[in-house]
Amino acid sequence: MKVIKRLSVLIVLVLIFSMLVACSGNDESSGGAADNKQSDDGNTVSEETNSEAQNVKQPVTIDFWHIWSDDTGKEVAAELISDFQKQHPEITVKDLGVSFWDYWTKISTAIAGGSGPDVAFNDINNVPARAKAGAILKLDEYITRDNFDMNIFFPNLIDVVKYNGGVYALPLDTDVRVLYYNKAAFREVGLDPEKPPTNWDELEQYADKLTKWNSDKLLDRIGFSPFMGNAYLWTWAWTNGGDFFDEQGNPTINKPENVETLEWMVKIQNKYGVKAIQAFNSQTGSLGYSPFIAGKIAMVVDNNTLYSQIKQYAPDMEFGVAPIPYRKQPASWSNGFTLEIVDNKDKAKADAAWEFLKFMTGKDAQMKLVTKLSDFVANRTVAEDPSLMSDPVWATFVEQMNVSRFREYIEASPSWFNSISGEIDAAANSKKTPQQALDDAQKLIENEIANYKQTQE
Amino acid sequence: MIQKHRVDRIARKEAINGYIFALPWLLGFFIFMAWPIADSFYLSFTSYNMLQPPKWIGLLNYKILFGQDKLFPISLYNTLYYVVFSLPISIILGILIAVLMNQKVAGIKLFRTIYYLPNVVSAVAVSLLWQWIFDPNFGLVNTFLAQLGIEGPGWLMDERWSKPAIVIMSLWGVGGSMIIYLAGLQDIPVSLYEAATIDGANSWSQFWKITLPMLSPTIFFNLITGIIGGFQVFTQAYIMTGGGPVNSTLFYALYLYRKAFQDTQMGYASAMAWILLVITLLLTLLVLKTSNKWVYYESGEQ
Repeated sequence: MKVIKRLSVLIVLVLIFSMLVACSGNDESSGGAADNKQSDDGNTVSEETNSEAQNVKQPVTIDFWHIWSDDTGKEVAAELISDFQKQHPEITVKDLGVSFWDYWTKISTAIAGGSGPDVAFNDINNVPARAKAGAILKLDEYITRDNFDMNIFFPNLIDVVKYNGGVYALPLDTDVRVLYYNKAAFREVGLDPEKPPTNWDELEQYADKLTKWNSDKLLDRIGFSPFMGNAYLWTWAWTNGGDFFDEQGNPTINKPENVETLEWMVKIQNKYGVKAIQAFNSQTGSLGYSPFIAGKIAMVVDNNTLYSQIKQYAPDMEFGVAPIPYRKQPASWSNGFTLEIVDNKDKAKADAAWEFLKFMTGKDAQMKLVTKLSDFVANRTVAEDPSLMSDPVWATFVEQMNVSRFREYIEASPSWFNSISGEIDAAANSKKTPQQALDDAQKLIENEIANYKQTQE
Repeated sequence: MIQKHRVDRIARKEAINGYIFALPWLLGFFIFMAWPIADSFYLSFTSYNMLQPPKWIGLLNYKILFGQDKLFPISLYNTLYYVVFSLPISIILGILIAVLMNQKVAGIKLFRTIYYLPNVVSAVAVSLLWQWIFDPNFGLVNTFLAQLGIEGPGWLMDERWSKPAIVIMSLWGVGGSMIIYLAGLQDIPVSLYEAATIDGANSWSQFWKITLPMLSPTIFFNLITGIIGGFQVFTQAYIMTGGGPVNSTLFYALYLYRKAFQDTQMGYASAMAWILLVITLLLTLLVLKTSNKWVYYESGEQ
């Protein structure tokens, strides 16, 4: 029976070590040694190709990874690629669609391991990280060579794809947040459905009127809550003149404008009570679609995908959209995706990849993304097409791009908004005062940045 | 002498054949396990963002983790909480269900299948399902409690109840260990029970004096795999709570994932992985050490 015991020790060791692998999961292709080797190999490749192929006239195959992994998305991707290949018979695009939840680990480890695609669909929020590391190509030469007009994109998108003045990615699509309000509910309580609230005070007054309680002291309908929908502290703080980092990247999380904002958010939330809100949240979380569509929230700040959802689930719903009510300055929040050329040290492929980038951000492809995937595209000239602007909801989205912002990208703390979420929760649940919560959040991020800086010295 | 040479040759040939047969596994092990493990150990001493070559920074990651990182102790506490509560409950429940499933009743195979079935469902689907069950307003749990006149808590929405909720949810997978206990139960010789019955032992004392001791190697096995698995709790929080509210479900593996893939601090994340390894290893060794006292092997030669 000693054997059994020895065996069990062995099993334990194997299990424990397999745990390590599980933890470092996707790490395996990202070894430092492999990294260096890859770039060495890459150099030799680029020397060869430089002399052989100067342009895209020779047949070349490029890899393109994206998140359109199934259904309509997959079909549209295939269609766009086939359109592109008709225009460029010399280029073959091999694509790989990976589901949104798995894509980000896959793309980052593949690029790290030197086995990434030539064209990568990526997050617009952290272009500087890849640009600084030299993982993606600077596009300025191509832009000058082809006289490519960057102004076809929304101006706020151009800023975020730049690093040190150079353009490193082309924006593919974006999103924007607006106030959605239920016109039927407005009428029901005697509000003018053509006059949505424009500032915080109006928003609060309207919310009080629109809120309905049932006999169990639970919420039948919430007028409005700043913690619901898709706005978060930063969007509201921006409309109050707040920000979260200064020009030098130092955190300004507990600045008075932000504290004021959180106080206001908590004040409105407390009108409903923690218990009712929790019940409401989970109930609506399990709806599978927005509580706004279910008529459970009369006003909510959400992004343009809510519009697609309304069209899908409640095409007859009477609703309106308006700019986010603000206190000091209008603002909205955007995210987005880019296409980037991964630096695989292969000129021929990079040239072909650039043609693909131009195609995907060009008129025809972008229009297909709008009509077939209800995508809010980055190409302003397409988004402002009269056929789209005749829809007042769409027109509001486009208009709000003028004031929309991106969350600050901070190298030392890229997901600072996740890190501070615990503190914001604490304020929302009245465990901490807003001041205290944001002071703690400030310390937390200062600490994260200091820790990161230590590792960079 | 000639004889010995031949034996050597045969032995060598056999050894080579053996290695050739084992080669697929060996290659898999070294390429996909041993090397990444060694590499992650190296990376834990570096600053590495996956894009630039890793930079050696010595023990700094560990120093920061133990000295300055405020979320690290929180995540460690959350994970320990989960292991400490979910493991004993799931062991006891697993044994109880296994004993039930070991009865000779009509349709027992159907019951066994039903109890095991939840294990086959993907963790993501299960997480979404439990989100419904824990719904404070309409969920199964609180509706039931309301029938008893108890006002149920906010479960996943409430930082005091979110961890217990995830512990309760972990019992969903108890069928997995139940199967192993069942196998252990069926290995117990019937003669022992027969002898005990003749001696006049009732089924209660049979359970304590025969079933449990004979099952102890299986419990031991499930305890160890449970410790290892428990420290890796991830999916529930990743899907259902995202670590909230108020970081109450920020489990170690979730925090590690964030550091690795959202902050792209791979070196730091590797250091976290190694700390988790050491903690798990120590706990496992502790259990191994004490196993002499309570794990019974039939030959009983210890």
